[in-house]
Amino acid sequence: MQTYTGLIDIDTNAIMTIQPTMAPIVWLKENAPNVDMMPRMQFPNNSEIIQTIQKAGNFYNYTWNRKNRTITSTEASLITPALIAKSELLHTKAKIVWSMINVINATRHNSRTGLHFQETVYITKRSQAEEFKASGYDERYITNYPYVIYYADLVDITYQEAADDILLKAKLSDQVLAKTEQLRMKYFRLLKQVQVPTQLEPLFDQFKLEAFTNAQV
Amino acid sequence: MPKCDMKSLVYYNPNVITKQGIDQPGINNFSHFFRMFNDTVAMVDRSGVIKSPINTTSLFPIPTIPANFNKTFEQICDERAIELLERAEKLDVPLSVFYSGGIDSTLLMVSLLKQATPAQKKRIVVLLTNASINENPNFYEDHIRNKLTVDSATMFPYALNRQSMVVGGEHNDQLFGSDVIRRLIVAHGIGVLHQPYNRDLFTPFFIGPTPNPVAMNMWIDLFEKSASQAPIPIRSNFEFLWWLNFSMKWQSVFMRVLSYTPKRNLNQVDPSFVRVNYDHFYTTDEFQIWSMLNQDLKIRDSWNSYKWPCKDIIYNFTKDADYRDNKTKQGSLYHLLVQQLSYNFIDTNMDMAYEMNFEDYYVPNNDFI
Repeated sequence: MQTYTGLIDIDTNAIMTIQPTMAPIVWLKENAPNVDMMPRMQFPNNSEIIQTIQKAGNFYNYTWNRKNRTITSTEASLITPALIAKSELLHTKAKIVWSMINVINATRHNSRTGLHFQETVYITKRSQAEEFKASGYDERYITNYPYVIYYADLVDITYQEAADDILLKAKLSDQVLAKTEQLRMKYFRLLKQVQVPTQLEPLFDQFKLEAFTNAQV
Repeated sequence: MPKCDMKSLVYYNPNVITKQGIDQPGINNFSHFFRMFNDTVAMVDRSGVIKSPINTTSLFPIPTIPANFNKTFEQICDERAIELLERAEKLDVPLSVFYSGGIDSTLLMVSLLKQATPAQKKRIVVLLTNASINENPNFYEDHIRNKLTVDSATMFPYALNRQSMVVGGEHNDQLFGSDVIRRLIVAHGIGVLHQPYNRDLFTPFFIGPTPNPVAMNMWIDLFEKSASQAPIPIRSNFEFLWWLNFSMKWQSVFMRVLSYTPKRNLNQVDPSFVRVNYDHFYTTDEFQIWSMLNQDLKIRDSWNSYKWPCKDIIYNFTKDADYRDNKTKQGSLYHLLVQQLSYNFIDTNMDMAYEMNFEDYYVPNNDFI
């Protein structure tokens, strides 16, 4: 069954948006005022009405009942222009932030290994190289650092050279990811500041340029 | 946006220009250049023939060819290496060298290593990435690892300051013809390279992904006009493409790395910084004169032979025959520059801006209306 996550206006319990993925709602919960997150909104019997609401797009017309986990119509007097604008903005931001997440994930493809536990291996390898270096490359305890031993033996270099090489390569890999983090931080901050839905698409266009195209080559 | 006091531009981001000036006379036709070549090349015409709709200044005039110039490429490389090593000594700063593992930066490293004294070698910092190591593992293992100071190239923007001298291997492509030559070979076969210039060959070549025959023909007319005024005869298809790259892409290639200067370092970047603390190996007048006079020393009868004089110099140092015989050009700069934050405009004072009003750089009297 499709799962849905909702974003609720805290003051009115009116629904601001419903998304098929949780990540955008988590982000909005942390970066929008007076909202709360409702996971698994489809439970127990809301799938049909959610699909109807999504097609119509007027989320603010519906209210979430936390106690009963039901969806009802919003009290008419609560549907103010401000509430409507908030819903439209947050719904568009949800879509944009999900697109940005996918773009950031794409920029991190080169850091993927596809191997089980490889990230753990890299962290431990680096940690052992750092400890060995901090010991002054003291080979009396080299068997504490099997990753350094295996690297040195495979490449046929000294243990010190192996440790230095491991640390260099770790640093080089770190900085590739750091670039993507710089990009994520910059645009998530800008996205948080946007107050008008029409500003979102140009921001996303600029984001894509910086993510892939603006490398001036 | 308030009017800024940016002067004439030496660099701009074509993506911004295209968006901002979409309805202005000449911009659409001018922007076809980016579709023909590359949408990140800030066209600045060194030949002085083309009236651009963007207010730009060329910082690199085409050098005058002296009589009796007979230096070899290797001589020029050696002399350039000595000059750079001595400059770093005089400034008493590290000499940070971009190393991608490709032909140009490997030749740069070889030239430095051939000429450097032990003290000068200690000053060299090789800026590289994992991709650099993988592109030329033998060179890394034999000449860099545990022999030279190494640092990550990814953080290069933070090396753009007066406490360092940063040198890259740019412009060798502009000397030898660049990747666009491979595009021509792939499209029409190696045989067309050295045949007499044929406009009909370039019509489909320059049509671009969104055909605009009017703009394309406008540009080819201007290219031909520029080529007709080159200091050396432009006779073949190869020479025509080489001239376009040499005369129109030169400045963009020089400035693009500088556009990544972080905000905190901007106060150190001014005209005196450029060519002193920030430079590229292959930019000297002598390299350019050699390039103009030696069209027969750039590529033979295969893409593999492209830059063969460079590979010969590298081989004489490394004795790596496999690299000499099989290495071809692989673009590596993209992965270094992608996701780095850059300015969109640089002016003659080396002031940089993300945004400018279109009216502050648009030239209505241009060749593209």
